[in-house]
Amino acid sequence: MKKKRYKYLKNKGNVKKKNTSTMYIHKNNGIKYKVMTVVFLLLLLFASAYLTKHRNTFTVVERLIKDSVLTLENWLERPLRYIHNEQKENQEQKDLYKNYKDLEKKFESMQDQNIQLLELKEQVKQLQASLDLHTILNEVDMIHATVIYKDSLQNTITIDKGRKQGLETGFAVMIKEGMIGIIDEVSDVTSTIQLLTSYYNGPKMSVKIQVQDGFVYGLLTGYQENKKTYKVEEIASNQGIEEKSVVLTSGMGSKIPSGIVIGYVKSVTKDHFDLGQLVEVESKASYDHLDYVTVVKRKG
Amino acid sequence: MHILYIMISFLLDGILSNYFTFPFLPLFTLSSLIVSASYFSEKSIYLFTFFIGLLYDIVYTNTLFFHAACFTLIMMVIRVIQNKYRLEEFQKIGLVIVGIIFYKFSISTYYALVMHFSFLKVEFLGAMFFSLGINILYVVPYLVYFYVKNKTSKYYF
Repeated sequence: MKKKRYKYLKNKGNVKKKNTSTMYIHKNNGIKYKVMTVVFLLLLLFASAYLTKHRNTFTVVERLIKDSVLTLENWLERPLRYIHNEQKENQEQKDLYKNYKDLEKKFESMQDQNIQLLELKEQVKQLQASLDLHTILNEVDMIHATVIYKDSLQNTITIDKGRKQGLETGFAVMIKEGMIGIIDEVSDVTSTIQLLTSYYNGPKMSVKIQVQDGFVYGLLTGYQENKKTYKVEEIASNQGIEEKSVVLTSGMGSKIPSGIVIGYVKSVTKDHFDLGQLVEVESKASYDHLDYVTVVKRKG
Repeated sequence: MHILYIMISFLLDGILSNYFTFPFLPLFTLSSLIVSASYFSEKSIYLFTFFIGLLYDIVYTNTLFFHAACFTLIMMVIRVIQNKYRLEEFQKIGLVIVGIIFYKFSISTYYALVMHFSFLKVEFLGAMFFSLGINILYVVPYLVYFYVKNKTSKYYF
């Protein structure tokens, strides 16, 4: 009982300390250890800066810890997600009639497009057979995943699918409004996605912009935080690009299939050297509420 | 009890990241470490903070060792203040404010230097006030519980 009380008072700081020379030595040692710890921690901060910039893969231990904690979290989050989804569904039910009317109008115009699409599909099949092509750029497999963590500072999200589900780094990730990012790191049951809104270390990729007689190609180089637009560069100045033209992935030089919507042209300006055009692209994807995403995997 | 509170806070940080949009992020792990610091011995709280920070780095961010070092440095500042002044339970809210301001400055500097993010991107002040508000709300029930517990304890005087 006495011991317990002494411990309690010690924690509360109510025990008088003895002012002896031994105490003085201990105090000096204490300061020395604290200084050493601070120096060690500062060195660790520098090491962290170096590792953050130069490290691309997780170690096995890191992967294990990350997978198990995020899986546990995913389980714990289920009731919250259920409530969140119910609320969303209620809201959607309220908007149902308005959406129905809009869809009715769209449906009429889509019937014509559908016939054209069927015809084009048939043509593609025939051409594929005549050229002996096994895959084409926009043949894809889709894997649906749930977002289990968002790191808004680094512009990354973590999903509940990983290597075991056949995911690899470099695969495109999209939502119904278009592409939102590229898989950056994969562990066994989770993957980290670098969003296209990372303007410093974000993915750079080849894109194509629809013009009247086909497509022009450019390079998506970054995201402008203040304007909320992507930047597409390296486009020849003689190409006539109109506002609101659709911007798609080109499918060249990466694991990303062709034809995924990235956004729509907001403005076209000349670059600094007056040699090419700089296109600002606006995305319709909302990055604030990413709950479910689709990983797009090119076939073959 | 304190360890459980910190672990729950750690998991909540991850779960709530899906419901709060940037830059309004909870920092429950840090605030729970700060308010429960006085219940651990000096050595064990530093080691525990370092471990939790490292876990935070591995699971949530890919900045290996940053949170481990940053949380431990914050804890050292908190312990210096705690050793100097005998703080009542509710005065620990002040420590939470100090800790969050220290953390926000550290992480903004880190991201600005290492990842070349601008301070504007971090929307510093708005995020800071939000974090302070939500963390104070989060720690108050915990502080009330221990305030009442200490008041009713037979060793309290």
